[in-house]
Amino acid sequence: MKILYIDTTEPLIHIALWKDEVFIEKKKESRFHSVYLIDTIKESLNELKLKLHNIDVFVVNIGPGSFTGTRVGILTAMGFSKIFNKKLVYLKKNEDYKTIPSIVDSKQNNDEVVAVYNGLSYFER
Amino acid sequence: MKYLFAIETSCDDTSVSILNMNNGEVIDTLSISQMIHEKFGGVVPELASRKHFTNIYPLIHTILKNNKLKYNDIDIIATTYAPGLLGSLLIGVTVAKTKAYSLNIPLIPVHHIEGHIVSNFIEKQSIDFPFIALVISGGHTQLVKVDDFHNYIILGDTLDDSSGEAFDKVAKMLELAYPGGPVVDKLAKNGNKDFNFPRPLLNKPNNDFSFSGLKTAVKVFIKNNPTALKEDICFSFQNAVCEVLKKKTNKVLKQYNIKKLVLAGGVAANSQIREEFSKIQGIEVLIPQKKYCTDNAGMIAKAAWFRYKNNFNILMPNHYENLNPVAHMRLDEEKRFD
Repeated sequence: MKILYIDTTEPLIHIALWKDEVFIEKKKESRFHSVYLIDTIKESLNELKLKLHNIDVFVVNIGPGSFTGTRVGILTAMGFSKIFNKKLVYLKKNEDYKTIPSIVDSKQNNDEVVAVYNGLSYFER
Repeated sequence: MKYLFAIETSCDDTSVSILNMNNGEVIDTLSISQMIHEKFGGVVPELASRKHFTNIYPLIHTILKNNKLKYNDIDIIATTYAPGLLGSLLIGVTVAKTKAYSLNIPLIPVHHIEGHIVSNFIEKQSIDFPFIALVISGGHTQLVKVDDFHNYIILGDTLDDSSGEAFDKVAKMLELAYPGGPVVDKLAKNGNKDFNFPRPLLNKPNNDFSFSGLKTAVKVFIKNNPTALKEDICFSFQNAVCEVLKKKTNKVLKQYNIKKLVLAGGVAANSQIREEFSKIQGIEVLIPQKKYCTDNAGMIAKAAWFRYKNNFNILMPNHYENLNPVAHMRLDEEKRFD
């Protein structure tokens, strides 16, 4: 199974990719996740000679994370899953991403747009 | 090439649109206005971004379903990337980039104000230059000379508040609903007493605007005359705004000897402004349909179509990955990326 994991909740862009038994991950420092996310995904896919449409399951970290960063990751993963009609799985911060291949089958496909933030905005206080 | 898909999320309206590339016809536009900002009396940026975030995919799904289209049918993507609220713009840009990358199709970034100007040409196949554009919205009050495609010269700008902002703030002072434009417009129709509010910068030689002083004058007046009717205050305020806009515009038209004027932006939906500008003698005045005055993706789709026709800023795959939204960008500051 081929799985792409996206985590943009932290100041580092974190991409993990599973191609059956092979696993690679990339962490890239960026001040603007929106600018570097797609490039980082591309690099990871190229490394394993994969194309985006080969991916079977997209996994994204929904937080708690930064306001903008978290949203960028979810929107991107959700777009991929909708366009290629593949499963989208949500992962929370407290779940270990290394266990993803063993848990994706038991998780349901997510369609609802949700994000968890690690703080309150001024209008919520 | 068949379908262009446009996304607009620059402020508080999430909007998507589909355009037929062959004839430039806007097939469908779907928008969601965010009513949640009403209780704050103004747009809360973080809240706007969160609403765009939850609205955007359901909206895209609905418009595709209504038109019996699939993601694969889209041949080109367009999105507003400047100017606007950064968090809001980011939603549209991220979704557009994701779609363009997944489908391996080109992306056209569009300047929001160019979209507003193009809203006058939604049903046309070409734009006749030159003309003067009066951009009046919640974020801008500008007089722009447009000589050719993407050849903008800003002749006058606001020094403080925009005209739309003034409408919103006067509505807030009078404890009316948000957004203020439509409410003030409605009440002004029943007013008949003009309190002669100041006409800022009317006698200055430049073409700049200022609405902050007028706003303060209204505030002081309300404080000193608590019994004055809201209708009359709205009427007087609107008269002042209208006169300033009209006189400044007329001056510029004469100065540059241009016989064509184009109104653009949310304030162009105001009925008094529409009426008075349409009466200007000897000038061809274009005013967008009311539904295209406020932020909408239809105008972005059309602006992208004109950009495509003029081969301007069409970003091919591998060139748009680093596209980033920009909060402040004047029309004449936009650069070519391609």
